[in-house]
Amino acid sequence: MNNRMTLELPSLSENGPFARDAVAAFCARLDPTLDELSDVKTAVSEAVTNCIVHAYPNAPGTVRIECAAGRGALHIRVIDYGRGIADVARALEPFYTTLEGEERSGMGFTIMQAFMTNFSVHSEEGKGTTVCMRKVFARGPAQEAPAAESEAGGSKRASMRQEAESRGHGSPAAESGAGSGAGDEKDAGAAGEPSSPTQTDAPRARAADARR
Amino acid sequence: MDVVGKVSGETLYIFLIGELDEHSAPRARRLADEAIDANAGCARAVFDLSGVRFMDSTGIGFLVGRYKRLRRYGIAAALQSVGIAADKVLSMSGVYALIPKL
Repeated sequence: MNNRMTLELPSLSENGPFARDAVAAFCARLDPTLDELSDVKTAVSEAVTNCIVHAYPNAPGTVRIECAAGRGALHIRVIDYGRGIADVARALEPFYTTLEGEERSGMGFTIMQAFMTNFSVHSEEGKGTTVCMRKVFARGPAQEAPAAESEAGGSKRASMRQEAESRGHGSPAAESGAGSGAGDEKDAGAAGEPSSPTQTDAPRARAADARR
Repeated sequence: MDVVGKVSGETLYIFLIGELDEHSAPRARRLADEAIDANAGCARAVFDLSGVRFMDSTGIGFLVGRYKRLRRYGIAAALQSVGIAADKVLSMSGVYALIPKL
């Protein structure tokens, strides 16, 4: 069963815990392990923190979080309409931070990449930044309707999930849209079907993956 | 997040309790620094993370910042009771090279 959620919040630090807990609650039906849930919460926290700290440094702006769940995977987009990133490739480097004096680790993007199955980022100066992430869960949906299981799509769904798992984490072939099949992408909805430039930016994220 | 400092012998134990993120970090820094400043004569400080329910990369900056403060006093720093999730974040950062796990 596919599901969606959209959340819009002002970029206040007090909204960080709510944002990550809301996403965690949303993906509970996908039956994540505790480790997987922790990975998702941490990645969302990093993305939302970037909005709070970097996108809107002077006054709060809007943070939009789009989630779609389907076929054992969670798709997340964290969108801001703020300052944008001048050099995305540089921002993806571990330990790189523009705020040296503020005890910033510069590890936010690195953690998002490492904790999620797929990751990409698109940014335009003055217009904002979109972070796309996908997490494939090992155990798949928790409460798949028995009727759905008996449908012809049931076994196909299972095999597709298995295929995604076998590609392993960070595999470019498992990049959202590249290997999950058109049907899967339709199901993924807003968060999983970026018609936006995020897809064209996938090689950049893969290059970052290769550096890890 | 709460930060509680307790001295045992020559060791200052700094217990972190709750969620460490962008929102809670300013208070956590202030409380930890107060505990360090008040016990500057200790030989070492041990950060106890058993009460940490969530930590993102803010925790890396927090620990490195406190490490620098402790070093100014000549106090060695260590970590104990690091949970699986926090360990995953800290391992990636290499922070254990500065603040070893007990």
